[in-house]
Order: sequence, then C-alpha cells, then structure tokens
Amino acid sequence: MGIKKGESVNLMKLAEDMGFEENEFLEILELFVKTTNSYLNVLQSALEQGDIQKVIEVAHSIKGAAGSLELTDIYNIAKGIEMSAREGHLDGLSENIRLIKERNNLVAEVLARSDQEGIL
Amino acid sequence: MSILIVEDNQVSAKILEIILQKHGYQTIVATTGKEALEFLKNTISIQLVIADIMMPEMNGLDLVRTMKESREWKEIPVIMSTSLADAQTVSEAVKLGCRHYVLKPVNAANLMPKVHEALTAEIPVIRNRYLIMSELGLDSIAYEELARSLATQISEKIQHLKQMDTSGKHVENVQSEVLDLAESSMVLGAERVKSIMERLDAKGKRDAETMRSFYPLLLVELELFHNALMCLLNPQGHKK
Repeated sequence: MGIKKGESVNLMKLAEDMGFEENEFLEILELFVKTTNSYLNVLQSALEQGDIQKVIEVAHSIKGAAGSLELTDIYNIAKGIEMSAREGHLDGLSENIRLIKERNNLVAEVLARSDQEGIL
Repeated sequence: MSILIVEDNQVSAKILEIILQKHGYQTIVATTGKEALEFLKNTISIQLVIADIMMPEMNGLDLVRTMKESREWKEIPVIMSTSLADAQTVSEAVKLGCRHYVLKPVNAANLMPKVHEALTAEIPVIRNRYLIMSELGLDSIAYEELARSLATQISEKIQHLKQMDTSGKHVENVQSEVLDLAESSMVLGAERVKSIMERLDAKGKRDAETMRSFYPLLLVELELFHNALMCLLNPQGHKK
C-alpha cells in the first residue's frame, strides 16, 4: 500500500486484511515509524562514509519492515537502495532516503491523527 | 510451550509475536542465530522455532544446520520465514531437514496453518480405539455406537456452523456449540482437537476475540476427526 499526501488512508482496512485488531496494528505501526527513523539515520551515515555493506544491511531491514506491513512505497524505495548498493552505486541515494523519510512522516501523521480522533 | 522467533527485524518480530500470542502460544524473540542457540540451551519449553533467513552473525540456514546436527534439538521443528526471492535458499533449508516455510509478508492466515502443521505433524488425529475402549470400559459394540453417534453429530453441526456468520461478534453465537463438540470429541480420542483446547485453556479466557482466532482451527480439526471416525467405522470407504 502506498501512503501519499492528501490521500485518505484506510489503515483499518489494511489491519483487517492482515488479521489485526486496531490496537495491535497501531502498536506495530508505532514501532515501524520509530525503527525506520533510526534506520534512516544509520543509513545516512553509512552513505556519507561510503560503507556499502552497511547501506545494503540497513536498506534490507527497512525493506523487510515495510514489506511486513505491506507499505509498498517505502518497500520499493528501500529495495532500490539495496539493489543499487549491491551493484556498488551509492550516488544519488540521499534523495531516496529523503523520500522514505517523507513517507515515514506520513505514517507518523496518520498515527497522530488516530490518537486524536480515536480512529484509523 | 514456547515458540522461539529468530528475527533481526523488530517490526517483523513484533508481528509474529502478536499473531502467535493471540493464538495461545508463549513467545521468545532472538535477534540472531547465535542468540537463538543460547535460548535453546537455556529454555526447555521451546517446541518450535520460526527463523528468518537473512540475519547478522549467524543466519537462519546456519541455525538450522546447527540444530539438525544436535541430538538435543534435531527434533524441534523449524519454520523458515522467507520472501519469494529466496527460493534457492528455501531449497537449501529443505536439504538440511527443514520441512516448513512461510512466505513474507507474514499474517495470521498464512502463518497459523504452518505452525499448526509443524506442531501437530507427530500428533495423531485420533487415538488408538483399544486404548479408548480400555479407558472408558467399553466393548467394541458400545465404542462403535458412541463413535457413530458422535460422527453424525459432528457432521450435522459442522454443516450448520459453516452456514452461520462467525465474523465479528457473531462468533459468540456458535462458541458453545463448537466447544461442546470439541469436548465430546476429546472423550473419544481427538488428540489434535485436544492440543488446540489445551492452548485455549492456557490463554485463560474464551472471549469473542480469542474464539475468532481458534475457531477456524477447531473446525478443521473436527472435520479431520470426523473423517478419521468414519474411516474407522467403515474401513471400505466412508460417506458423510
């Protein structure tokens, strides 16, 4: 599933499809936002240091977490970073990190809204 | 009974934990193969391992290799969780003696049948009839009469239950019928139904949410038990 700005997000439908209760899904999403933010910091440092192996590992982790939640936009961008690093190319990946950060912030916004409104 | 989750990704591990705990299992999480071995050494209640393949330090395949080489752990079933892209790795895992795998993204619908399959592979659908006869003090005629009556009851109830809406809160409407059927089946040696009921008891509650998780499994196992009874009563071929 892609989360785009201004788009109504039916996370409850996603939670149902995956067989989770609302509170369970919120718990998982919160963990996703938190861990993705910390992965992105590590990824940015690894990129600046030219540490290809680290870039592969961290991009793989982000891809795995996003894939688990069927967040396909983040999954695809992380997969692109991983593949590019596996081929030894790190150029231009900062932009991809920015895109993941942007989408992760959107997930965080949806979570914050659900806190205020009590619904997903 | 505990299930050891070996997964370095916190989100994937949390998803597995929530699904398994909801189905009455206790869980332990290790983030590397090495950590998993430590848990295996120190926790005797581990009955199943669910392991990711790509992990730092010791990957899932090395973990399976180590387990299958150990006299102590070689009988513990392992489910590898993997993505489609890892087909080659899955085949390596099978060569090592790992018989179960689940494709990512993992959800209750694709995970629980595998867990059930891995844990019940060694449990018979029905216990030996002569043991049951001896325990209940029945002769062959009385046993068959009971078995026939139960088989008819299961068949009729299952047909009825399949037509009912068991989604949402409606599961409460059928809860007592399913549980009664399970209790009666256990008396005549429905071993796999019994193992599900034991897990249900371990949860300590039978509310609608819990029942929604256990209901599909119970129904499948009751049908299998019904078929086993019919085979036993009509060895030439059974009809409902």
